[in-house]
Amino acid sequence: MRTLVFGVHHWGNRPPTHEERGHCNEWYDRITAFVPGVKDVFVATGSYSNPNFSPLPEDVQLVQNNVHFDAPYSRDINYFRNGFMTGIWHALLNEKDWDVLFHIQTRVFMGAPLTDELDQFSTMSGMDVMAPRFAQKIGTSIEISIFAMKPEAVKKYATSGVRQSLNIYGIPDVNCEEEAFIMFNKSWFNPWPDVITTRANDFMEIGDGKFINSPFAITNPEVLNSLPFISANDKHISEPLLEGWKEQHPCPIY
Amino acid sequence: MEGTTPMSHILNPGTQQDFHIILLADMVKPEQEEELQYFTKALGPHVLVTDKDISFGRSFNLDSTETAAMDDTVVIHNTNTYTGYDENKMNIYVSDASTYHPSDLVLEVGDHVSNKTLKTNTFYRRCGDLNIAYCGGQPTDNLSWCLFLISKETHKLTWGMHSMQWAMAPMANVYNRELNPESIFDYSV
Repeated sequence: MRTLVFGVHHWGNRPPTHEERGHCNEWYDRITAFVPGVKDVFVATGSYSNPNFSPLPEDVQLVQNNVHFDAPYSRDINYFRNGFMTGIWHALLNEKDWDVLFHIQTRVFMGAPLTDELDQFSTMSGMDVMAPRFAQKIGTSIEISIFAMKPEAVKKYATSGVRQSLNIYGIPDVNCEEEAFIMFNKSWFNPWPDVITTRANDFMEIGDGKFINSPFAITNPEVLNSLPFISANDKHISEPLLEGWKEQHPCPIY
Repeated sequence: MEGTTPMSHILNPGTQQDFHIILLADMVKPEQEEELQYFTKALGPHVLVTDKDISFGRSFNLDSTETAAMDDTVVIHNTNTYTGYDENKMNIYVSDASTYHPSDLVLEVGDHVSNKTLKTNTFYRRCGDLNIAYCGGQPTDNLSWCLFLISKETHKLTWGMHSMQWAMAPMANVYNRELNPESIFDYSV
């Protein structure tokens, strides 16, 4: 199996910190250690990012769409969508001879081999995407942070006439996560039925400067440590919890 | 109504301890019963409200002739069980006929509800003095469900989720009273 892996990331014209370099190196190392048949790893930027300041390892190809970060992130101006679509089109236009396009968000660390899951997925007929079934389980927090697509799914995502972002059916400006659910609801292979989120913290502002954590956030360390992948973003997990997870899921090349 | 509530392995541990958890699944198709069984087990609600006769510790059928009480402070009624508003309790009224009784929360069910959702562009709204959640049938092959969390301390509705909530962009503000003064959710302690 030949697997293309991509993430979405952008850093503008800001030099990376030591921690960011370390995070991006670990993201890459864990992909090459745990994802079988990796042919290439690339990062699609959601907005133009100075390549001289890339926090990523040299082996990670940068794919730029030259959209500039000139307005705040919002539901309508979605830099993640820019990057995700850039990755989709890059795979279709520029990459050859691949079997699976695997989006692994740069905040997500892999922690276990995916050999069995990808082998099963590649031989299943009728299944176009492989991902945890976050969709429709938690209402507002659908994720496609781990999202593997067969070539037909990638083509469908890029060109489907039912793309909800066109807003032709009256559903307002849905995110690409929601588009994925609409397109692949019936061809979605989920080898991790009990994984609902990758987040230990999922805070939401409820007004008056107060935040509450989602009841679905994984606050139990035992459950957290059983996850085969995790969001390593500092908004989503504390340093001690992340260190605890890493002890259970060490990167084999370190 | 009595029985053992299974522990959730999806919700974080404090949720089961701090909240009454109500799961509502309306218009369950035969092919969706397995999904409902799995989802109920995974969420471990204190009470399951449904139109199916599902084997579960505490279930409140939409045709029930008994109320469902939780700690005697939160009570679920429907047309068959409603005997009057008791201000010492949080009264939840389940209705499929738009005939609301005085209550703290109305869970409206039935096929007609999806039209109301589309018309009002929300699953939760205030109507006069009533807090209403539209929990009825939705156009999907998947199980349609609603989850409600009620604080055991304040007896206020603090969280609600609808399985189709992702399709409603304005829903991002449903919990935030600064952005949505009409929010039916209350986080006050």
